[in-house]
Amino acid sequence: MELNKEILQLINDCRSHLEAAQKKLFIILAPKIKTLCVRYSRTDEDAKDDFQDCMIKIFSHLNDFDAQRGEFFAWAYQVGRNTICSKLRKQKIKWDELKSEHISDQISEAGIDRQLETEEMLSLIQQMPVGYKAVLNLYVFEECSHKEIGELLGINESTSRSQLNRARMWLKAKISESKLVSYEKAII
Amino acid sequence: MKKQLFDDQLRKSFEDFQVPMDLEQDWNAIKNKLPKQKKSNRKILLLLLLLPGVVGSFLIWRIYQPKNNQATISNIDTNEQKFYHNEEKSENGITPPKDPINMDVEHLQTLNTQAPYHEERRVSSIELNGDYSANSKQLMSRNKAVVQEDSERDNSLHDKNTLFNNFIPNGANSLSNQNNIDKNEIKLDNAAANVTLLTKIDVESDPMHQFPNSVESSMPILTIKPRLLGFNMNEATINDLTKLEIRKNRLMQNRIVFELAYGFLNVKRSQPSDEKALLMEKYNNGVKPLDKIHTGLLFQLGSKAYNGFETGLIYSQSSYLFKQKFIDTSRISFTDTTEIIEYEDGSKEIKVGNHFGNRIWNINRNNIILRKRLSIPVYYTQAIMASRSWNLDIKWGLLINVLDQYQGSTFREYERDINLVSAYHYYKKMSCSISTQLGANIFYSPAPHHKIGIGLFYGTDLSPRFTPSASWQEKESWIIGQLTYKYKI
Repeated sequence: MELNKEILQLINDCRSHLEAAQKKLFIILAPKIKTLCVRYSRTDEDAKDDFQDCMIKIFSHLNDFDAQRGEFFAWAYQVGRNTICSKLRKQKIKWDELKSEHISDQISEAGIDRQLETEEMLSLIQQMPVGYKAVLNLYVFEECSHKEIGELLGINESTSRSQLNRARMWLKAKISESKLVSYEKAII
Repeated sequence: MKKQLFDDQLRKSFEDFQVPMDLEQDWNAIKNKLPKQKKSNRKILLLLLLLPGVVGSFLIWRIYQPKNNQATISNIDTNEQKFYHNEEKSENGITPPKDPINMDVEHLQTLNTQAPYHEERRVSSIELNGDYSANSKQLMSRNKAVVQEDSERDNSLHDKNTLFNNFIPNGANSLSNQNNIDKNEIKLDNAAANVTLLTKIDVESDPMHQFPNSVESSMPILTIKPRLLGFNMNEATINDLTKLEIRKNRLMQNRIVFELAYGFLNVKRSQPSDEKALLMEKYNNGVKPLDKIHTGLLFQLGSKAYNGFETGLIYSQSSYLFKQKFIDTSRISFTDTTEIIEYEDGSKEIKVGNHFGNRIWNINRNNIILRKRLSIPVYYTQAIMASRSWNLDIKWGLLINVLDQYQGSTFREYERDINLVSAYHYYKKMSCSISTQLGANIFYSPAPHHKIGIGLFYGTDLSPRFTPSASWQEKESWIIGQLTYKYKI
């Protein structure tokens, strides 16, 4: 309760554009938002740009936050996610082309039977085609339904489903490759 | 199942994961891009807060400042002395001009260069007594100097029919009631006989002067109020969401509003009482119905509480263009003034702007009333119908209001028409208006606290029925286009 009051006070101060309060709120929000951005981006530079866009959007629209409607961090995270999705929509991803990418069926049945380092996993996710990555992130990490994904990215539900399947297969294939490389490294 | 397992494993692998980051560096990169506290806004705000006070003080000072007629007369006398000083010289041996007409024009030119048009000026008409051609006479009539008596309006208005009595509508040229001439004119006439006197009357000075015949002089006092600008239509009326917003921030929602409105006002007159019936008949025969084009500017500094109470300082300026039967192609603009030019032989000319005529009806073309008001009202606004707003975007929004609105105040509200000496200027113990309004507004918010709106409203108002000063009761309806700028403090 006290924490909630503190946050609300901080938000009010930020609404008055007090720099000290802005910095405090930035420090609180930054790790979560940065992680979000990194998962959706291909390079560190892209992540940095997305992160800045998200933070600016959050701070610019603090007046729209209504404490009675929900929790602040969830709201901020949602603003960040929507900002990224908005950028993705503008990129005009060619979803049909992504379908044609060949993925081995054998590998597609593999699971994550070796615990990869999270950084390794993140690196793999970053390398994913944009469309796969967007749908996978929204479905797995943001726990959005296909309907919501469709609305966020401006695609059909069926496209979202197929993209998710292919994203999974793509990632599993890469994980397998990674395991193989690790094994080879280990025996050399 | 396998898919679910894969997703869970993936999700689990990122639990508690945080990207390493240099917070200080990231903050430095971003801090300049975040919304800043604009210091200059404070200055502007302070100025805006002071502005109504200054404007109000000035207006009140103007209303109550003593009318120093004597000073004006003395100014006229000073001019007179200067002028007659030349004549004295003539009488004392200095050769008078050979051509009296040219001399007169010369004097006029001298006067024109010495004093601006609106200063008090007089010209001897001695030279006009000689024979001169029609062209010269025309030239003379166009170059008549003018005595403007800005500060003596009250005197000239003390009897509203003064001018009407002095002029016969069909243009017969006689001055029937010399006693009704303005006191100052009499003084001036006494000071110098045989002087052509030109009186200039400001169109805005009194409604009676704008309708200077027997019909229009009895035109009822209009019952137009600042609320016709529709300032209650530019925002959602009190509803739960507004209450929430106000409660969340502060108890009061303070704001500054500038409004520019342009609209058409239609007045339907109800059946007058028997004693007014004849008057109304004459009025209907004399002029077209009161179809008015209305423009207005409103400045409001106010606060609104969550419970619907509203107070503030309102300054409004409205103009009303009356289309009448005697319309010709010319229009009187805001800057035009009406001059009634009286010649020595009793003939008169009317000059409205640059247009000359010999009938008083020349004034009755398009008349404009400029009305200014300063009021400190307390309103209680309660919508009982629909009020809905949508945010189309982060910056754009749409507001639709359909409401029956009661605006009332049991507090004293002071209204005064600036410069309209004989019209409204009274304290009202209570004011109320009941109206049905329908409006749609599109809002754009370029930055936090700032909101620009453009909207269209239709409304009807029965309030004038309660105005005791009206000769007959009127039902007003209006369509108003409105441009609003609102700054929420």
